[in-house]
Amino acid sequence: MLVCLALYVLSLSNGLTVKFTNLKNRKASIVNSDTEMSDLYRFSYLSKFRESPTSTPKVVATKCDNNAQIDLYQVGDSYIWKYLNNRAYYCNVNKSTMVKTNNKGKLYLNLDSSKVNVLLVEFAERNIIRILQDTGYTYHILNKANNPAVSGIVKGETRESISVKANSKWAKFKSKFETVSNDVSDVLFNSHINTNIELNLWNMALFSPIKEFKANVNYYLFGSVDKDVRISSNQKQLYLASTIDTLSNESSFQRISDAKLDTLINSFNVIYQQAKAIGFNKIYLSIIPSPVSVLEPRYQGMQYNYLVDRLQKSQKLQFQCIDIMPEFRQLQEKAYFKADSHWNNYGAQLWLNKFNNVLQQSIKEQDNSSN
Amino acid sequence: MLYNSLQFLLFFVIVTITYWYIPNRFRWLLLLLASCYFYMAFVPIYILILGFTIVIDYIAGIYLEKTTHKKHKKLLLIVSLVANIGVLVVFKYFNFLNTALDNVLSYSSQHTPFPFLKILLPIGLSFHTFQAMSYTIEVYRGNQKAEKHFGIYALYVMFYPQLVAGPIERPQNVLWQFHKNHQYDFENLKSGLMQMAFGFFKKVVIADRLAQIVDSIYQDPQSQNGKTFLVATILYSFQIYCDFSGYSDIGIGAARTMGYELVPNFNAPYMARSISEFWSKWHMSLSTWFKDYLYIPLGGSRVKLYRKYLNLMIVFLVSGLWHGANWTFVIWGALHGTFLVIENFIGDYFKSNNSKPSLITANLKRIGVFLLVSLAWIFFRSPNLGTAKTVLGKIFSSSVLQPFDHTVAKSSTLIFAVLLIIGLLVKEYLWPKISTKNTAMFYLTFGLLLLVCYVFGIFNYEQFIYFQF
Repeated sequence: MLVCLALYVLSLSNGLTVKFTNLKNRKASIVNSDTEMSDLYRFSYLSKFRESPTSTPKVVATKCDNNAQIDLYQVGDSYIWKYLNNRAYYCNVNKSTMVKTNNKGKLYLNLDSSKVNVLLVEFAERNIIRILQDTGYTYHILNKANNPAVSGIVKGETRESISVKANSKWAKFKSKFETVSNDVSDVLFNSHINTNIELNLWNMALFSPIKEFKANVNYYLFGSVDKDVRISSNQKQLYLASTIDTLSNESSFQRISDAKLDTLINSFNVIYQQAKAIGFNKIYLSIIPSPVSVLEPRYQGMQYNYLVDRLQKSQKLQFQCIDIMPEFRQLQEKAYFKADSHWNNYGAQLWLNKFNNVLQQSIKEQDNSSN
Repeated sequence: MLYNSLQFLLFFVIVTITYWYIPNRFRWLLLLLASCYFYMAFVPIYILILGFTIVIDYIAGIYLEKTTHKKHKKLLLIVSLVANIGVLVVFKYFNFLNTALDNVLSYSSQHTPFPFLKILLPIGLSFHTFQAMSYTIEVYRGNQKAEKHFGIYALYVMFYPQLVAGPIERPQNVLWQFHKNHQYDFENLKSGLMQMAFGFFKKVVIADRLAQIVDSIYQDPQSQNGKTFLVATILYSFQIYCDFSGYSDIGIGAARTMGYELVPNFNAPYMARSISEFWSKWHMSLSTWFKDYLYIPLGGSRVKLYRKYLNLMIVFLVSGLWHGANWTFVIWGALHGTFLVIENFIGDYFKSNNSKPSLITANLKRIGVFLLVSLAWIFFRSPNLGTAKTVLGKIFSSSVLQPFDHTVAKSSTLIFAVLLIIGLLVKEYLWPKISTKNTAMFYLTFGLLLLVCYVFGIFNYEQFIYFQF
């Protein structure tokens, strides 16, 4: 009973669950969590898609002159922070700062005018609509720091802290009470508790064979897979279900009207204008296409909406784009893991080389303009 | 907190083990706190609604017993019923009545539509308000002594195994059990666990698997043919049965592990040979509630025939409305009322010779009742009258002769679903209760059930259908 109670209490806290998972990862063999395995494999547990993301050669820094003239700022998601979150990968970079759109990170900045200040905004295709729709966040990603001596990043918060101009004791008490009760409620009635219990109790390499058995039985007998994945037409690739189901904003097959496209472009342009106002020398946008957009633009009778192409080719978009669609279309499945929603190291390397060329070009342009 | 979740499994283990370790005088407190937590896991603030009705009914019960003045007793009863029904009307029926009234008044050009209430329906509202109302009615009638212990009364309303989807208990059955000093009984534990395991099996292996097929058919009604809808209708009959009876089994089993006996809610309803028999076997706690508190006070069957038929229609219309704030549920209720009226009419005017029907006749009757009930379930499943009309239109058209649409489900899935249904019917007919006397067999059967639940269960944390009521 005590074990059950401890497990329950542990699972009430997202932070403790993460710490426990990390602790398991540091241990060897059977209690090791399988978080190192591909994310779509960990949804489906189909044995034929078992693959470790370390199965492709490591990404290496592009060869270039490293004169450290660039301060690089990145607003991105897991494509960047999981694979390329190190200054050493990038050419001519003196300092690299990154915030994650996944947890609503914002930048508060005072730029060093002696450097070439480069902003890279990176979006996975599936995140575009979800993030840009949240104008409360996107319109405030980039900010000038109030205190000139301070320049840093703000980690995003999932809930706005309540700031009330408390004019009375009652108002202060009410504000404090609401904050405390929200915090207690968030823990006691954590909506992620089932996921946490599963992570704490069940997410070990030890149980993978049992999970694979269940998955394989249901797949080979009934053709059914986990609700979060879909299988490619050639049965060789897993896709994230939300990038296919047209009811999801992440879908590559959801119809995007011209009016909606314009709305997305306007939101991108707001970010661009923020960056310009702060004083960035170079501002780039890179959209990483979802695997299904590249590998199967016609999937089960549905047609890809070509969101990435339409955005990047639009004359209205003020960003300069790092367009990797042509290269990815050529590379096809070599650019992606077969059971992960992300690119593999080949895809990351291709992107990195292209971006580093752009960075080197930025230096040349800056040198030319100062001359 | 859903029963088919890891959270509930841990919660159940913690609460049950703690229950048996603490002294009896603290058990009511443990169960009350656990039940509060169980309820608040859905929407924490809604505990206040439950608290409001509990306080009103507790006070009403005390004064109902004290008062000898008939008019005062009646007034207290009315206050209690109005409080409970008022909560139901506000949270469940306000927007429905709003829309209905808007539709009627929209013919007047000066009418401004009434504002909608943007609130979530509190979970299990229909169930615990009915259970609370049965308490005050029974105290009023003198059949039940008022509960003086506020905590025990609150536990009567909030007891977590039956809080959100029944069975709807009577105070005579349950209140005394909360005062009793329960002794640990291994047989009760085995029996309770086995019933829970079978409940899980019905829910995650049968109901949720059938739901995948039915939902994919209902997703795009216009593109389906009559045969596909006919199959969906039959599958849905078993889906809703396994979903609801599975939930009841889990709740009843969980209560039994702690020594509490709740009323059974289902008794092989699809074996019924008449609609009347069906309603004596389906959601028994609700049908007896309506019989005791609505049908009989209206006069029941001890009135003129036309009045009896009217009473039946009233009960089933109200029952339909109880299930949901949508015209589809009202039509569903009206259909069952009509079936019963016709059945009673035939029984009243064409008296049978009461001889035992032959096996063939009995089975034909069973099939007939099943088909009628399944037909009515179309209105239960359809999100609106338009969809129900489309489904019925296709079933009763030549498109019922077209082949089944295999894009909605692979043949192996269908075959498996059919095998599960046959297995279920055979089990209900031959082994209504799985014996747990032999401990070794208990462990084997229990373990096998859990394994089958894991391998073949669908764990998308699908809510139980009756939660929405």
